[in-house]
Amino acid sequence: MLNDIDARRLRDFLELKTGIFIDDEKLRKIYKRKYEEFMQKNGFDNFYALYSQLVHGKDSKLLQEFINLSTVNETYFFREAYQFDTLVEEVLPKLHQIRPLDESINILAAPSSSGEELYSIAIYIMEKIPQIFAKRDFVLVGIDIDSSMIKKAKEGLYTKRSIAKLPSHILLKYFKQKGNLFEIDKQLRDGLTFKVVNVLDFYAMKRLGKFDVIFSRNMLIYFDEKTKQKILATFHALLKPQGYLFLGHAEKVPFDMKIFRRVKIGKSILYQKVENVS
Amino acid sequence: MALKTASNTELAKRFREFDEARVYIEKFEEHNFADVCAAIDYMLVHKEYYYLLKTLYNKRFDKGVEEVAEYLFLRLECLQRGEDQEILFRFLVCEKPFLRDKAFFYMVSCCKWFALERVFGLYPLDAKSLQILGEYGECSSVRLLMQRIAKEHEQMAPLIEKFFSVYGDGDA
Repeated sequence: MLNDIDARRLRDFLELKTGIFIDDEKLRKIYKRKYEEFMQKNGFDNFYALYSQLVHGKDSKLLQEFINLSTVNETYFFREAYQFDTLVEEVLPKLHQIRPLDESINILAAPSSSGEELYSIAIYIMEKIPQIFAKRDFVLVGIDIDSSMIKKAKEGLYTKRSIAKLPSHILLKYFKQKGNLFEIDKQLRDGLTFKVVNVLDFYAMKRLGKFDVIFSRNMLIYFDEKTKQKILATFHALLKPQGYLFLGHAEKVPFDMKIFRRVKIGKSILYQKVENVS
Repeated sequence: MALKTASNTELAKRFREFDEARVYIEKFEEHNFADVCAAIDYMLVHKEYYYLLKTLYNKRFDKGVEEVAEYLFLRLECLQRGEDQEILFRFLVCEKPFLRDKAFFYMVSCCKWFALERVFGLYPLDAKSLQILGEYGECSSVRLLMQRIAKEHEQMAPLIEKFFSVYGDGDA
């Protein structure tokens, strides 16, 4: 139904729109079939009909669904929890000391996927540093390019697999069972913000405001080198002075950076924004 | 206190016109770095690449140039226009090692658009630059260059080995 050249055209169009690059092997083994199913589901019997709809932007819902098809959303509660430990034991107490008390501490998860990471951060803050939480407001924002993930994050309904790493007392305290699913506490759900935003849209990102901490784990690996650098510069622009960036453990940043200081705090390697160091 | 929704986050500075932004770039040493970055963002959106690079080059000895250059090179897309590339090559041979390294790193990240032969005619081909090339250069010209170096190394290694087998490795 879809030949290799046309599959590559769809792949390249996706890269142009989102920065996400799918290599030839993944395209052949996984995405070609996904694209064929997508065409069938949306009633396109030939490649050009679909391609022209996407390229000419006549149907934004179709474009969003096409983007959703290509994102990777592997996540669960308390994943790589050592970074949350570093956040609440070291980073937030430090920021609490240097920021004025009437200023909220703002945390961004980019991408947030279906919300597990951002809810985990909220739970860690409430459970581990109640003394700071009692004195200060927190603003937690999650963004993702995939609208279906943002919808899921706002609904706050999770499978057994998503909550498998949660200690039972946390599960009992913050979740309510609904059939096969687990619904996160309404107060938490209402306190967090989730938005559909593309990290490559610099001004949409800037409109989110300024943040003390940014979590961006396992996203940069999907971009080419230049795109990664642009995203790092965006994160720098969004961070408040001395703010922190958490990346996935396998993520590589340009060598010898002056605008971020690589620091090891607790068990985590993170990057602190540096300004006017000369 | 509480978890608050995101309506009250502080917005970053945004410029409205060229003349407003240029002051922050032409006198970056007198301004807050975040505002200088916002001015760079304005210029990038308006594709004032040549202006940005030329100004930065002319201010290469000024205090704070390293941070400004780093932010600019990170945000800068891969430039293909001849005159933009020419000024980038001037960075590659300028007096400041940090700027030379950043320009090299930028060119490696954009290796599809830069002639590597010319890059290495101006920048040292050594262990450090090869490592950067291998880690950050994602294009076929890097692969070709690596293959050529490997071949040359393969040809040279026996000659070096022969030298040491004849003269030994101590002082003669």
